[in-house]
Amino acid sequence: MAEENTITLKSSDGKEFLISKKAATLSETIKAMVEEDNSSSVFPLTVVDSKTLADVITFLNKHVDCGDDDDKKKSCDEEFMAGKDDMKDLFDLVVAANYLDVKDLLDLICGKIADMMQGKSPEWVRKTFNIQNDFSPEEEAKVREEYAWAHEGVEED
Amino acid sequence: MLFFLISCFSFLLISKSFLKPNPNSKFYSKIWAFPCFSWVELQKNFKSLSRKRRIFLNSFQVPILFKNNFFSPNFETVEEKQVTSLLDLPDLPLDCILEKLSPSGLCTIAKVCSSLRDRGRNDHFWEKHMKQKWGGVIGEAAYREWECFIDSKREFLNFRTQRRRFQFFPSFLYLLRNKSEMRVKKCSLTVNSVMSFYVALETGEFWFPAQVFNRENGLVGFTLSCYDAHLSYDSTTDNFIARYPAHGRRIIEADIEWSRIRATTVNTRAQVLHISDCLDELKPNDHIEIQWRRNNEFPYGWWYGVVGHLESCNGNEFNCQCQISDDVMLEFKQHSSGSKWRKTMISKKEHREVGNEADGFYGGIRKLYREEEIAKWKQIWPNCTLE
Repeated sequence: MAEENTITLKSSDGKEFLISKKAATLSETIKAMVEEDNSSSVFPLTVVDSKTLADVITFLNKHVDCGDDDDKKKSCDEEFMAGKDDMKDLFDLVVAANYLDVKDLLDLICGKIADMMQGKSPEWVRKTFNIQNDFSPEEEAKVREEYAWAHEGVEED
Repeated sequence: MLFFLISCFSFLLISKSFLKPNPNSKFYSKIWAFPCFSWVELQKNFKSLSRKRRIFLNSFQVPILFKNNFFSPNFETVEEKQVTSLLDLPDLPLDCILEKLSPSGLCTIAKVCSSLRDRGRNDHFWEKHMKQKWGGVIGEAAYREWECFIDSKREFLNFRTQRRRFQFFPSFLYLLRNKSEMRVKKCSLTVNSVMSFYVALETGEFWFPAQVFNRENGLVGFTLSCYDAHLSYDSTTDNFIARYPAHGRRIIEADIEWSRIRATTVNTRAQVLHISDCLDELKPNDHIEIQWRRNNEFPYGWWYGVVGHLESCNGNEFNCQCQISDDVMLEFKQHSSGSKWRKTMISKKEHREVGNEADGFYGGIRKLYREEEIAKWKQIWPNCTLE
């Protein structure tokens, strides 16, 4: 009986994770996979590595525990996000959440990244998010003039 | 067709791996990153398209394993480390991030690189901010005026561009016209986008039509009225400047707070009599606004009142015949009971402008249905009764 309610997710680097169907199907992608192939119990996820998949599974399990209570969800999310500051980890989680179609997780991580950008300078954003400045000096002057109405961030990292 | 596309991606992947054998080069990782993202996107798209999803997913997994085993034993590592820049993210998450940025955040990312500048201009990201900040004070009239404003700006730029071209290439003028229009469209501040509207409002460049409660800082003569004006926002003080049209000269009022402004409520201009369409349904205690002006040289303002009982009625709800009467009594309870402004009677049958030079002229009536509209009037109720 217990086996019927669990499935195994296999990460891109071959590690297997046991998860309840209820938690796993919070991901629309896994839900569709399970619906299409009810006989399988192992589902390979070729674009999610084991570290990220472990995080995603933690998130899904937490959300099953929280139920529909918004306050509980909020505190679960805060707990989940605590210490998640590494940009590479955040990018991996965004890609995984997008691929697995977990809207709550995608919103959460995207919200975190957006919060990080808030009140920062363009130079800080370039450095932190690894973006090349492709403006010519003329274009840069123009864009700065065009957006001069918005108060530029002062927080520097 | 889809399989053809997949084959193309795989071919591109394989051919590039032969052409650029150095896995450390930037170009190499970029090329590898591209098909892998297409992979994710394609898998997502197929999910909704195909009922045979499992088969598709399996078919996608084959080339990845093939690549891993045959071409590059370290491919998985490359694949997992590919998202090193925000710009590597697929469209959906990138848009999800931009959606959560405030207007100043969107402006910051516009200064980062051309790709984020162009992406961040999308109406989708600005509509929420537009509604949040300006929704309450920007009505249809303001939108219409914005369209005219942007058209006149475009025409001016078109004229300038064409004139410049005419001086050098007169014979190509016609052929170049389309191109010049495209160029004008590219100039962000002349494009009719939600962002350009937001910026024009935020900077105070665009004077928008709206209505101001208790004009001229609550001058007694204007208490509990609402007048049409053109307003410009001052972001440094978070207040507005208003220009009121008034018999030949313009009156300017500064430091108007958000709470004293609302979007224009009807499509009737301030100089035109509003056609009342609610007269037959008016009954005692209904909340109304009525146009009033001193004389025909002045614009109408909207004045708040309630429907009262006729002189012949004792106000008893069981005997009250006021609703079926041909006349309706309007009451302005902000004025003392002895004041000449306290009451006025309007005919339901042939109501046009009524009044005289001494007391001014009453115009069209609109009944207030929404609680928020009534609450707004109550918020500015005077502390003492007016004469």
